[in-house]
Amino acid sequence: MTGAWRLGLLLVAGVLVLIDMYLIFGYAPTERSMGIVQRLFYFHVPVILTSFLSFALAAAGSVLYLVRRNRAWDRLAYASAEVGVVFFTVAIVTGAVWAKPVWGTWWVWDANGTLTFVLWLIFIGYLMVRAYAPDAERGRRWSAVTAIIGAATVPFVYMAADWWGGLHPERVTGPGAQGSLEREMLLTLLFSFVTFILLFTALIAERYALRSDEDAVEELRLAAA
Amino acid sequence: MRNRIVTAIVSSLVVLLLTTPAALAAPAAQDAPGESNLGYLLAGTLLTWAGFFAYAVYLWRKNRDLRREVDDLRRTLGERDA
Repeated sequence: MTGAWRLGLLLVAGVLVLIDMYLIFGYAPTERSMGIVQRLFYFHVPVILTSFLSFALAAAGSVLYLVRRNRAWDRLAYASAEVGVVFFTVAIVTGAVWAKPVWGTWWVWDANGTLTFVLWLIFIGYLMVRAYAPDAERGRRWSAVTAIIGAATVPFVYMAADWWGGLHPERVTGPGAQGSLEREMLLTLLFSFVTFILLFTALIAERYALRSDEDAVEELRLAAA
Repeated sequence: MRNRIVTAIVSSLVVLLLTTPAALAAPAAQDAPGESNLGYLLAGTLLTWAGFFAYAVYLWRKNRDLRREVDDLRRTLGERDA
């Protein structure tokens, strides 16, 4: 993907973000029991599901790298893992800010909260392995295994509230969800999904290109040594 | 030049995004008596965009440092070849 395409993607994402903000704050109705703070739902849910997608992509890239030893797959895995950590961190923060007025606490160490924290630590571990491995090749292999382990944890985080209960409510959207949403809420949520997926794609494309440059610099550095 | 344009656009978008929710959410809060969670809503919104903005700045700075390093390496290799 060329620089012009990446810039265009970022601009389109920016426009969608503005429309999304209007839908969240001007179009979606206020939820009856939680009030206006429920609007964080339109950030929290799409962002966390996008981070799951990102971790799945990191694992897929890692498996393909381990099988084929093609650096392009490793770059995809690295970009996905890093952008996934950003999205997941944002999701955790919005979840905590939403939890405080609704549950009376920022965080609960129930199954959902604990597994969420574990998943976050696994992918922080991924980035640390890349940064501190004794050599680049071992870093790529070790982090690939870490990404696969992390992605295997995702279904447990997704299903934790259904399987083990706790304060986190059951899912109202997505595969296997039990609840339902008003039409305006559903439309806003779907638009938020599209927006964050596009933002995610733009960031992945940017990070992938940067990673390619980093690899090129590494080779130049070796040639200069 | 391209980086400057991207930074200017991203900064403008972020400022707009950070101020829009306050303006739009305030009437909603008045429409629903007893609601006092506007601060949490604003905090969540601000933190979301601040997170993505911080990451965009991180990428921009990394890109800039990388370009400098490429220039240095090219100079080193050029001097060595000469």
